[in-house]
Amino acid sequence: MMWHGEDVATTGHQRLLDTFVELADTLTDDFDVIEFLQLLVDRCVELFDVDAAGLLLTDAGGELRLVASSSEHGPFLELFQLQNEEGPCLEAFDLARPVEHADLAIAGERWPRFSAAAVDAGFVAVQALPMRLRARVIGALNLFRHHPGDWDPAMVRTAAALLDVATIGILQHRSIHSQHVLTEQLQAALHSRVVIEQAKGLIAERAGIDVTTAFDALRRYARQHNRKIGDLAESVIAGRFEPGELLGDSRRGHHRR
Amino acid sequence: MSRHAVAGPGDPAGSLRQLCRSACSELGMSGATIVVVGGNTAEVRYATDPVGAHLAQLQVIVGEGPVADTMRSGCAVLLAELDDLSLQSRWPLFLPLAAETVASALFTLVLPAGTSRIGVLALHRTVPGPMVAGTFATARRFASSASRLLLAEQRPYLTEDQGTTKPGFRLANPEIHQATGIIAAQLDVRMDEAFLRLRSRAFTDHRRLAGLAGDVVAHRVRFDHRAASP
Repeated sequence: MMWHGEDVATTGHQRLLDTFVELADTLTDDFDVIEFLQLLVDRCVELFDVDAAGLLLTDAGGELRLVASSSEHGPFLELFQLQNEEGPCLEAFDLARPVEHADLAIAGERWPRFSAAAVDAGFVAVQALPMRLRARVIGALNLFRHHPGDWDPAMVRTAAALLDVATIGILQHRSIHSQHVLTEQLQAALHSRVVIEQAKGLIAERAGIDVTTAFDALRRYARQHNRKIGDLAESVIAGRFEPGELLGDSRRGHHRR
Repeated sequence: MSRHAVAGPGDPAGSLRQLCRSACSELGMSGATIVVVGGNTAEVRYATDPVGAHLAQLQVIVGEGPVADTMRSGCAVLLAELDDLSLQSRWPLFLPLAAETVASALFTLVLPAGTSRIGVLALHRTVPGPMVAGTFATARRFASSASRLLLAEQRPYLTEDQGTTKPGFRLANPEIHQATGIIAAQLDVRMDEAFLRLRSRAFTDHRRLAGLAGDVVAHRVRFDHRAASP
């Protein structure tokens, strides 16, 4: 697949890169989360076909709170207040996936109060992207447009990537010390995966079975004997463990989960 | 949650793809490839096009090239012209093979993680020439962001899957390592030697590593004295 400059074509901005960079550069002494998120919403309005943007985070009580907004206009701010009751952000938050609408004027009963308020404030197209931290959704980015129409998937993907880099930036700032640990774990995960594949091949060839059956045997033995599959694979490769023993055990099939 | 979903928040793999694409368009490159290096393996984590993945694989086969040099030194390697004959002595095996691809320029930058290195960002272009003036710092920033995404990608596995039987790293070509295990059994040699044999055969037969490995796994190619069925 060749790349044809989708981002440049859709955003029309060289600023996109700078934003990726700005959002990644969080390791300064005077880092401020609110300022950082303000930068994100400002850049969204600047870079994309978007007229206003806001970012909501959940507070300790589980309420969605506006922490950064491209506009301080009263009716616009009320749109976020409403979204603790109904609206795309609440939905994106609950469903943990992007939620969009191309024309709120015809949204009908989906979000009646939110839609009416948004149209009154001059916004008819809306996009909400969940902000995820591991398995948890911690907030949502809300994008608004004055004119109706479908959202450009490429633009949405790019905005989502920016949001991801921002989330990681925050996380990064909070856990610089854990970075070294993560690096080691990444290397360990890679190593472990390679070793498991090698062990599959070794067992398959020795026992005259295919690699999938070899993996099943490896996994079953690891479970039955409460061992990590990576450690077991390591033992097999080092010759401390005979593939025959592994298969004999699995064929008896006791203690199966 | 599907790992193949489109890019979205909380989807580091998707964001990595998007970042690679953005890097290509911003830096005027034909392709970007993320290679994670650990021990003696180099795994392509993502490539915007097959050319980048192939260039990375060629370097694994011959055991030399800018990816390994960048990993070792931490310094970027900037090859404005891949068919520059004056460079032949530096990578005598890799360069002739690279020159057969459509790539004409290749740039490799380290993926930093604090003081350690987790891999390499490789950028290639079908048109020869140096990186556009002033874009090198930009390329480094992209590499830095890519590092963070790679590490972030590991987080859910590390925090939720610890101690289970499913390691978080997905290999692009698991058959390469399966074939290594098979060859180790056929020849009764250690894994590193088995891997070397596989690479040598790929080199002499002028084949792609993954393709040859697939043949080994499917018993179409054997490495021991017993003749392989053609």
